[in-house]
Amino acid sequence: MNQEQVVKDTFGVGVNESEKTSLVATFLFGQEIYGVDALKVQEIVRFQKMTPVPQSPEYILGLINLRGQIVTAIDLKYRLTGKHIQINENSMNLILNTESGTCSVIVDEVGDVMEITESQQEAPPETMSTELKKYVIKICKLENVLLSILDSEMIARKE
Amino acid sequence: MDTNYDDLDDLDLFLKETKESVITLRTSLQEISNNNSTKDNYDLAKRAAHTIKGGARLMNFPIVENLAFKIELACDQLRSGELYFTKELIEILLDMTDALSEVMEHIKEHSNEGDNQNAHIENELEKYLTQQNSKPSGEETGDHERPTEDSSKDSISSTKKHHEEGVQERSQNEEQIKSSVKIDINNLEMIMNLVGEIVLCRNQMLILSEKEKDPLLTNAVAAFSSITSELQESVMSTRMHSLETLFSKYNRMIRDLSSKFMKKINLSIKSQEAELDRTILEALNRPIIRLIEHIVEFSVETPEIRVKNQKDPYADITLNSYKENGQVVIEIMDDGAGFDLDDVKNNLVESNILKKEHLSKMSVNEILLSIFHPNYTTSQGNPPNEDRMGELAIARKEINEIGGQIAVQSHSGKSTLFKLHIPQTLTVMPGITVVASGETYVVPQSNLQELIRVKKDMLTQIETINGQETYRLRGKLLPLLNLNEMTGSIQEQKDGCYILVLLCGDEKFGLIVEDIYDIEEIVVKPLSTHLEQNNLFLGSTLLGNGEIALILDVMGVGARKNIKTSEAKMIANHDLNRTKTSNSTLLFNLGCTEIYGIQLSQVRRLEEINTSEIEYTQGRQVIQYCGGILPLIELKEAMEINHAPVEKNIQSLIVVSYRGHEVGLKVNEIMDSVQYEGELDTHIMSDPCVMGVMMINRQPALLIDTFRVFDAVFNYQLYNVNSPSKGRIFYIDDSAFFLNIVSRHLTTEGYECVTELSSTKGYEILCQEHFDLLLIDLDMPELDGFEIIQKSRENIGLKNLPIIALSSIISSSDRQRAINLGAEECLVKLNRQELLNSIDQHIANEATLA
Repeated sequence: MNQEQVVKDTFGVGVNESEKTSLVATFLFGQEIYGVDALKVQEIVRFQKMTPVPQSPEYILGLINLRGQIVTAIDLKYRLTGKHIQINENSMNLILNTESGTCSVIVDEVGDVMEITESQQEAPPETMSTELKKYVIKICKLENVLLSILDSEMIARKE
Repeated sequence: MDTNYDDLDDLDLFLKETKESVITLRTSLQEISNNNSTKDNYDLAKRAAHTIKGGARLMNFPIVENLAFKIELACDQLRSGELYFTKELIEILLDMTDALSEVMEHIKEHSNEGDNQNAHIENELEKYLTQQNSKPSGEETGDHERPTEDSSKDSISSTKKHHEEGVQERSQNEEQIKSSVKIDINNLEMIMNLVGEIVLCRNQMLILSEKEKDPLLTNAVAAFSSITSELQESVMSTRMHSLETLFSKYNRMIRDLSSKFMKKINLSIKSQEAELDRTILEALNRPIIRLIEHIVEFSVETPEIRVKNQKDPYADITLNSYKENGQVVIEIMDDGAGFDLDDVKNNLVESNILKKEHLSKMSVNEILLSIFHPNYTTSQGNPPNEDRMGELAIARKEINEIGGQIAVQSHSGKSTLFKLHIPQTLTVMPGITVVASGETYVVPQSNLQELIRVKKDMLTQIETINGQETYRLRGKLLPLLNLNEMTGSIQEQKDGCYILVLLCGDEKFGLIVEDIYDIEEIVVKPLSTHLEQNNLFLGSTLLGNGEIALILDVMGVGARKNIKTSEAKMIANHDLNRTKTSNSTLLFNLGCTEIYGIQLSQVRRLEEINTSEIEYTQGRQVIQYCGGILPLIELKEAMEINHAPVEKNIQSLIVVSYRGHEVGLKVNEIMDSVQYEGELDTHIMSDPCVMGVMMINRQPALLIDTFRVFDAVFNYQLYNVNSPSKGRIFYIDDSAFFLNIVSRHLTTEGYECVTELSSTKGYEILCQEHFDLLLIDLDMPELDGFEIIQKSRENIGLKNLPIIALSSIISSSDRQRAINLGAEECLVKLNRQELLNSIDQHIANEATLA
């Protein structure tokens, strides 16, 4: 009981010891918050010079040099919403390392790594577009916002 | 026999060892068969068989053991002389080796030996030996018995003794076998990648150390660099396997094929030492098999025919390989029937690949290369086999896919040689770095033939023919692609550019780039799956400065732009190669005997369409063409002409440019293009649509003025002759042909045009009469055009006269000279629209100035 109290104070939420939690790395496209399994995130790097690939699919922004490894940069915002991301010097590269390969997701802002419990997660609503449903595994109700948790495998996989 | 193996490692080890031994055994037997029956070879064979036997005994595979034992024994006896060497015996032994190999395959897949389907092989040996023994030599009979005794003795021995013996033999064998270790493929890949990274770091350090110019640093980096190169080579060699792994399989295949087609074939392997990357080796297998199948089926004659032609009934197929210029060359040679040039030509014409006329202009090598065309069939003397169609084409495609090339040489009746050039590895390749649209790209050196620098003032050498940018390379036309265009941004090449002459299969084309950096060894990194469909690039790499450069896939680039020699292009090519001036005329007929011609400079394209594509709108025939509508015109709509009503499915069209649009002229047959040097008789025909009559090969041909024709058909308002002319133009040219044509163009547009053949007289007239503009030809014999320009400018009365110079061949220096002397512009003969625009412009300018 004491333990519970400590945890509650630290995290501000009630955590049932037996409840499973997962770590989610969050990021922003504009004002919308998304998240992926933190274990799949290899690292986060600042925006880097990208080499464009002519005649490539619309959602490919180009290639970046990650310490000798050439990684494909993906416009995830475009894949989710149909709008291209506006790249500026504040954009960040989220490097995902999945079974389907390594790729970099360009995001507007990087958020915290959150610990999300099972109970906070819900299935995505029926009203969600099929495009989004491909990527969204769960929706999470945080204090003021809705966090959409995405499937990193689907992100890294070819369309 | 089903057995449980608790430790599968043993089985793996056995399989691997035996595989190596089988290869050794086969190779040695092969060598022996080729009359190389040294004791060493017998030793090698015997030891290999011995190893197999020991391993099989240990693993409890009696069939394998038995076969190996028999082979070992035979080799032993051959070595000691107890058995005499005959080709037949070696054949039998080879067959037994193959049978053994098959059983091994079965073991590999099912972990057991299965039934012995090859028992008959052993009977063959028995038969042979008994035959031998019927020869006079009592001792041999005795020997024949001994082996059997040995084997029975073995079967009596206890299992424990087996085991001990087996182990002993194995340890002996281990010393004899080249020491090797098993390594996980993933580990190997990781090591390769890391070494690749080191190479890139090394490149970076080289660049940086050069900048620093610190001698100590430079030395250290140099040492590091050479060590890295060695490391790279060593690691690469782990992936490299010699061609032996491929060639050793073909023995069996050729024996099967020979019996299938009832031909007798000797396979000899001259050299299989050359090494190739594992993946390339795997990819090579199929095309080489196709080639060999083709050779056995078509090239090699039956023994009867060979004997008739005084050849050995056994045909020779030779495989050879060697390294050359960083590539591996594989030669497949046979002494069969070869390719008969006339046969090939007939086949090409019959399969509709090439026309007879074009064949006469092709070299022997070019014609032979055509056998790789997908539609090529051999009809002569061979039963038409639908499946075999295009086998050679598929083989070539597979070879091209791994970056290789194939060529063929042949002597009719004597031999055929297929030569394959294969890059050693795809992971590291030399490439040339180029710049386009501000980004750096790499072009693989294996496709690069030449580099051409086009300086700023030489940009005019890039001509546009039939809508395709082209460059004249030593008399031949080279189609050009612009890397800028393909990568997105279209920039003006103001400061000149470079052209890379690239070879793509058989086709050559040029790639225009902004700048060229260097040739370097680059590590190829594959593109991610997202970009797999992109056929412009085959990978990416990191340059020394940390930049990412995409590597161009030359085949993909060429295919995308569809660089094929279409008939129109071939005609234009053929024609332009001969042309010095633009007197080129395209001849056609309308189904009757009369020949007609139009100027080639007006022709945009030659097309053939299906009559079913013709649609009707507003009473006019049109077709959908290149995203728009192309109106179709027949000459008889404007002229009194005989059109034979020929009903065909295919309609030939000449696409002509007309007032900024395109019109399709329906013709019956497009005949040829000629360079017409003769007179144009303008008096005979009174029809305004006919410019004149040419005499071509003693036959009259009417030169059609398409503008008049189209004007009439489309009811274009001609300028009223009585209305004031737009200007008075004086045109001096030594060619009556051009005088005629240009003046017609000008009068149609509403100008008054006075022409003059002689330049001296022309200058006189120029001084006497008033003109609004002077058109002058630069290449005239008497008073040449430059002089006239100069004189005119010196003449006060003519100082302000706009002068436009015309010439067939313009070099930048000529152009500059004309302009320096005072001409407004210098144009190439003969672009009607350009000329008219220019005249309009300069006359208008003068008007405002006056």
